[in-house]
Amino acid sequence: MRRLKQFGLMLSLIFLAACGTTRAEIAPTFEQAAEEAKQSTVNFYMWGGDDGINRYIDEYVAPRLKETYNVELNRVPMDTAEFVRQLSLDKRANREEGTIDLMWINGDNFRNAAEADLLQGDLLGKIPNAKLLNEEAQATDAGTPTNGLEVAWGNVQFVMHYDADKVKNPPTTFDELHRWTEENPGRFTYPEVTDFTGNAFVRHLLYAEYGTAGGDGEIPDEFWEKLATWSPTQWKQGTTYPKSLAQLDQLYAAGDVWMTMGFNERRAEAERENGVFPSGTRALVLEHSIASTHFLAVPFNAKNPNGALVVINELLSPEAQLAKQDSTYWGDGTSLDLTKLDTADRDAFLKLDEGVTYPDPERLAERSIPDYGPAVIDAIREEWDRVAK
Amino acid sequence: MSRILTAGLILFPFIGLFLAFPAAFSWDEAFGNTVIYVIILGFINVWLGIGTAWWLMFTESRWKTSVEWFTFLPLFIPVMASMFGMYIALAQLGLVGTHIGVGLVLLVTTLPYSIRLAYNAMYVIGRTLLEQTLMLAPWTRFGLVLFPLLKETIRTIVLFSTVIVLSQFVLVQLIGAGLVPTVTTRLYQSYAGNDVSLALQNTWVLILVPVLLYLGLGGLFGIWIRLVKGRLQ
Amino acid sequence: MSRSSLWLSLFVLALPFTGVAFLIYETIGFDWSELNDAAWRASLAVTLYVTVVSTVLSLVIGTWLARSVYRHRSTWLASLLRWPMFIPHVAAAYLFYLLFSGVFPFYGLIEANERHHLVVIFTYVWKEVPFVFLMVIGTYAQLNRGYLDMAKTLQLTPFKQFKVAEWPFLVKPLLDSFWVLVAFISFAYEVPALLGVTFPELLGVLAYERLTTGLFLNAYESYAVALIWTLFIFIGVISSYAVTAKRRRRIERGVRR
Repeated sequence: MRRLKQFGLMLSLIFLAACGTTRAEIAPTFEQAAEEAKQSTVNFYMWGGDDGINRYIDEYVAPRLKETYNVELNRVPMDTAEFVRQLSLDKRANREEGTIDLMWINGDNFRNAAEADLLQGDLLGKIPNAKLLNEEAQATDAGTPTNGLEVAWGNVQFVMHYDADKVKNPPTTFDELHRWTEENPGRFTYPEVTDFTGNAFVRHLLYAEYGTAGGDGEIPDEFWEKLATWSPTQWKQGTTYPKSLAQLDQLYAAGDVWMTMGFNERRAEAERENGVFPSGTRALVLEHSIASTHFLAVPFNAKNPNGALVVINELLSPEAQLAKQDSTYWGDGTSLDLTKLDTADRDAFLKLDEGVTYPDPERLAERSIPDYGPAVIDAIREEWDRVAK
Repeated sequence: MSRILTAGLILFPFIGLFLAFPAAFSWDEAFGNTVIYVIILGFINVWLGIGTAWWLMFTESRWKTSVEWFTFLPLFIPVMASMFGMYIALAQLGLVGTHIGVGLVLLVTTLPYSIRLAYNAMYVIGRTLLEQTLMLAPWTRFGLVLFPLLKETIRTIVLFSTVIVLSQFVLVQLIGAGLVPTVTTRLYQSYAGNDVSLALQNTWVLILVPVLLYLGLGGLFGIWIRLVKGRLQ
Repeated sequence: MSRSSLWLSLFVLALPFTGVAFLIYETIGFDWSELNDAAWRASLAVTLYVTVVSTVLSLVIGTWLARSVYRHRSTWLASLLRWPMFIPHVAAAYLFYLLFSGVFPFYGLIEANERHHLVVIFTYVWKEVPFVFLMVIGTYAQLNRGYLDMAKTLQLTPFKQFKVAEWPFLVKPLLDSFWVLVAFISFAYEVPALLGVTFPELLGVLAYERLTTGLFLNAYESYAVALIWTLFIFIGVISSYAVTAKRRRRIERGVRR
């Protein structure tokens, strides 16, 4: 019985400790935030499936932060949707002091987080480097206005890659791509539409068919019927699809399929150099390519929001953005407006090596299209099952 | 002939382990966490499993049937059905993202099995034999009678809890809020990636942990049994 | 000693019930007709198929192996069967995935990620047979040989011998194993996620997917499915134990002599 009492006492103590927490305050200016953040740790939640991205954070960004601001950066690898769900559970449990300080987010995950009121607002004014941002990229996220709830981190376009040793006459339009898959059965597939990239591929097909008119979220039956005709000559006769882009990349690396795809026009360079992708890997730009921006956001219950501001400011510095765009680590396009930088920085960006797997930048820029809104993403998710059947 | 066939059927999936050579192994936080969890949870499972089973076996109480169901039904609640509620409950206690929180939910997934295994084993030994030990002091009873009788069951409980703990990814990721890396959470990231040898290396670790623990316990128990048997002479 | 561990166990095991309570709370006001879409229906069908086939095969093979170990005292088989138990489900799924997605010679004959889910079933059977074996072998170990000898003396057919001398004692462990396997296989994520196909998906995979990707609205569907499924299994467990209770008690009394 005595043991039971001790146990109950312990429990109630834990309860009391849990109930005493309140939301952390953001300092009014960046200088004060930097002062507050000294010797603190920032938990940075981000998708962890790419080695180059991880190394950029661990080997480049983290040491710089430690040196300049005395802030410890802890990269936590987790799927975006998972930590958004965690935040929504926090909200429900009234957990005012959470575990996430900073997160990498975009697209429908941002839309969900914004709708559920999971993000801190008014970030831009407190971050000095935010004035260098490309205003167009900062304005909307896959059709959803950002309203200062997130800060643009990188800006990329959708590009396909193929193995030139196996594909002699690469297609130039989505129609030709369809014909190519028929001539080369089993050599093409795309990720499931629950995946960010797979969904974007289907949006490209939709755009090829209907242009901007496809953006109302009503997808005609003919489109699905036409898409279903791709199936018989796809990988595994279209009975199954890779669950994620990483799985498609695995198939491409193994030579099972001859094309892969993804946001970020420079993403194949390091993979090719490391011998993961075949050496014949080249870029393929079809009629149009969706431009996509990805962002940084601070959750409502961040324990260390001041530290998060410091990290965001550092990630937006021209040097960090330049290192990010370099193919050594990641090859991710900058979210800064080059015209706002001084000449030396601007030249450094323009001078970044031409890559073997890079598409022609001018051609890519002229074929860039804005994304449809989240309504289309959802509609594709709900109706695509018909094709997978 | 049929023996070879049976052995082949049971053992052939292990071929996969030798498809690529795992890169050099290094000790890190995830591995340390895993080993500590496995050992602590193995111990707690044996303790609580046998203790609870003992109560179920020998205590006359009007709550007995309810307690029996209460310890039995969690076996049938899918992790996916229970994890969100557990998150809310543990968030109230401030245990999300902590080692204690993760340990607790891992205990939740293993304890029902342990109680069941212990109960079944005691049942097989028979109430009559066990009843005779009720006179002994708890520690003597456990060390000299129960333990030797139940040593195989204890090994099985440890093996079971280890394997189940090593299988949990979604749960550890959610309750640990990503801050408690284990071999399993790392394994998932490597399964999703391009590197087969890294994935295989993690698979090796995942299999070797229970095997070594099982063999190690076998050795330790053997020594103890020899000591106990020495008292017979 | 047993009392304090009982209290701790009860505290720990109350946690999963908070999960069920949360699901009930969340699904209040849920429009249940939303579950009537093609994906969930197809998922239910394929889940039942995979679960029933894997469970039945595991039970039959596991019992048969335990029986032959008991009869022929084949200790080699007993120790061999321990091996699959060392492998966590995730690792087993990955090993089968490696073997059946191109590396192995019978690629094409049976392969991973196809609609019949043969490799999924295969993985489960491989993993669960030792489990069933373990549950059943204890019963055989304490089985009174007298029953079998009597059945033989009466010159019953082998099937009848099994039915009267072994089956009554096997009911309890088999019932235990049956429900553990059904509950586990029907709502698991790891194995079918790695070895299954895009359509139809098993319940666990579909529920997890609708939970983590896309609209929050879909989350309620997953909560609802998880809740129904849990309750469905609870009812199955409780009623099947209630139905067999009388018989089991009679046998238990007999065993104790």
